[in-house]
Amino acid sequence: MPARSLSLHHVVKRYDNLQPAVDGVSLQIEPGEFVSFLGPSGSGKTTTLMMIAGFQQPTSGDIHLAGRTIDKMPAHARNIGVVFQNYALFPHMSVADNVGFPLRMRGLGKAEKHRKVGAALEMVGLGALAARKPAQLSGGQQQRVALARALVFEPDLILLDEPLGALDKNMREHMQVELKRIHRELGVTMVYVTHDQTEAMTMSDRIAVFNQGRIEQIAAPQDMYLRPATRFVASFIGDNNLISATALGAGRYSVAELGPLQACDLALADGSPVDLLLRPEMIRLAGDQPPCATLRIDSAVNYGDSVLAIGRVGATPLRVRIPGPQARDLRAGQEVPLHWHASDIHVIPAARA
Amino acid sequence: MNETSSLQGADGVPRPGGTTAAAGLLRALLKGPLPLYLPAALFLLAFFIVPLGYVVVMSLTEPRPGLGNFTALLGSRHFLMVLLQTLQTAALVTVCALLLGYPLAYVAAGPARRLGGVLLGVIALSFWTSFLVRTYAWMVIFGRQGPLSHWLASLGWRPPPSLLFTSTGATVAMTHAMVPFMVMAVYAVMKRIDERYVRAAQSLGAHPLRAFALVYLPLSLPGVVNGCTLVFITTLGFYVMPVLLGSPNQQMISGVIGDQIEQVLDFGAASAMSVILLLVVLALFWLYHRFVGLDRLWSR
Ligand SMILES: Nc1ncnc2c1ncn2[C@@H]1O[C@H](COP(=O)(O)OP(=O)(O)O)[C@@H](O)[C@H]1O
Ligand SMILES: [Mg+2]
Repeated sequence: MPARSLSLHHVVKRYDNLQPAVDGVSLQIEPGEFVSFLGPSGSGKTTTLMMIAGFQQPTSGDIHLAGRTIDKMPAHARNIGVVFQNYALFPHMSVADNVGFPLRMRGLGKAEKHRKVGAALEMVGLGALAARKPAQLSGGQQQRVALARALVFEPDLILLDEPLGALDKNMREHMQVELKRIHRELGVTMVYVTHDQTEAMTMSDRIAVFNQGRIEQIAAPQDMYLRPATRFVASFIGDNNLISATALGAGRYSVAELGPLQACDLALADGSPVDLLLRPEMIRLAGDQPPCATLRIDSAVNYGDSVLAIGRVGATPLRVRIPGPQARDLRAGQEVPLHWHASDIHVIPAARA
Repeated sequence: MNETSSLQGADGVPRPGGTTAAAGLLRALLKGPLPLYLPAALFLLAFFIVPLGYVVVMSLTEPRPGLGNFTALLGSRHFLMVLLQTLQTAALVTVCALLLGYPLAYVAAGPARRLGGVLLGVIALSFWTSFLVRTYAWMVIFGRQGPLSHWLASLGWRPPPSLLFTSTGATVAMTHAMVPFMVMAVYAVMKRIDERYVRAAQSLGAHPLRAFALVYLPLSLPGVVNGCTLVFITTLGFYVMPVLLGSPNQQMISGVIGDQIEQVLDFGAASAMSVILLLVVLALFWLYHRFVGLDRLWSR
């Protein structure tokens, strides 16, 4: 299947006079890449996707597919496969007719159509159900049909809008693996919209985090997790401790009630406000090492493989995730010494108000 | 709404949902708790079932017992012509109401909310205007001195035709009366068609017109079937408009029934005609039920 690049340049979409739904989005997606749009509901993900697909016109900015602008191209001429939220399978057509629809639109002969529909249904593991109507399928099966329909015509790009949102947890995890397999096998460029950070983390080559119509950060999952660019990204992805602090210079930061903390030096001006990100799983019980702080535990949640201790250091709330056997004895009311490395603290310059 | 006929239901008011109300009532009668449906059941019994039974009895006993009324009617060329004429007119009104109503419903159910609201408002307004008032309005419009004649004359049509007392005029007026029913039946189904279906079709390569023909139109068909059933059956029983606006030489069946009662005082023949009309309507309902299902009149 052909793999194409996609780029958006300062794309704005305004539905009315209020805040724009999409507010200056720019991004570059490489051929064959799997990019997720991650963000809370209403952050502009679907609108961005609909502009790429050609169902909404950008108020300003432009969109290029394979290096050519597609602003003037109507949706049906774009050759982009779309998997809609709730699938949008045609209820009056069989599975085979649904999947054959794009081939019919392209005037393919009967034999070739039959062959391609069969291959696409095989690919999603539904070869036996070609004669069924969508209403006779389970949610997961409908999902697969929608996927087969979106890829059978070898589109330049596949857009998926929260395709797994309606499935139960097991089915969702299964389909995540399936989707990644299909992406690997076809090598097609995919843009995947989700509000589920785990889904974005496990599936994507890169994630674009949306907030209020803007992209806060676009990065590979691991980079995003370790080095979020903004407080919003840090709080949206993964469990976190975000501590407001002030730069003191030379990599030292002062936290009210906690005293100075050592972290990496961003060469910020003294007195600049920052947020310090310390992931709960980066914190350890001090043991023989010199304690960095003492946690007073308010509650301890046992996950079996680990315990999440929620408490305070002084007045600062802190979450600590302790793995395995050493966590077994943690109880509410205990005071435990903690240790972390200065390099585990990620410093985020606070946005100027 | 003053349109009444011996057969258009005890409430005498054809309205969208009337048939559902009937189907819903039927279900309620079978399943619902007694106190809830008892008042309605008693009402229907007293003012609909009993009079209807009386009509059936009269058709078989007046002036003497037997099937004489029916054999006479079915042997009468005139009556069969009236029946055929009535069916033809109802079919024509149905087609015209569909051609006018479908695009209206399409726009009203579409993404332009304000326009849709205005359209529905205008439709509701004509719907709420008294039936008799609308009939007299048509008499003025179609009259020899009416605006239509003036307009046609100004276009150079001399002498300008008058549509008053022609079956064309009656058909136009009945179509006008029926368009709101068609719009509401079709709109109810269209409103539930997710825009994503048409978008999906386009994303798969269908030109917007093709997406409409292959996806939207089939999905809206239940509304079309409902609307056509509603309009056709209602039109079969029309009385006021064909009598006041139509041609005396091309009456519809309700007008003929009225004449039998008011002018000839032949209650036996009038009752038999009513029963035949009732049987036609029941046959249509049976067909509908057979192929669509009465309980699915408003749901998919
Ligand atoms: N057709 C529309 N008309 C007006 N406002 C819209 C429309 N579609 C979306 N919006 C608004 O645009 C914003 C972004 O919506 P959307 O792109 O659907 O977000 P997401 O998919 O991230 O949940 C929301 O505030 C939403 O209310
Ligand atoms: Mg969305």
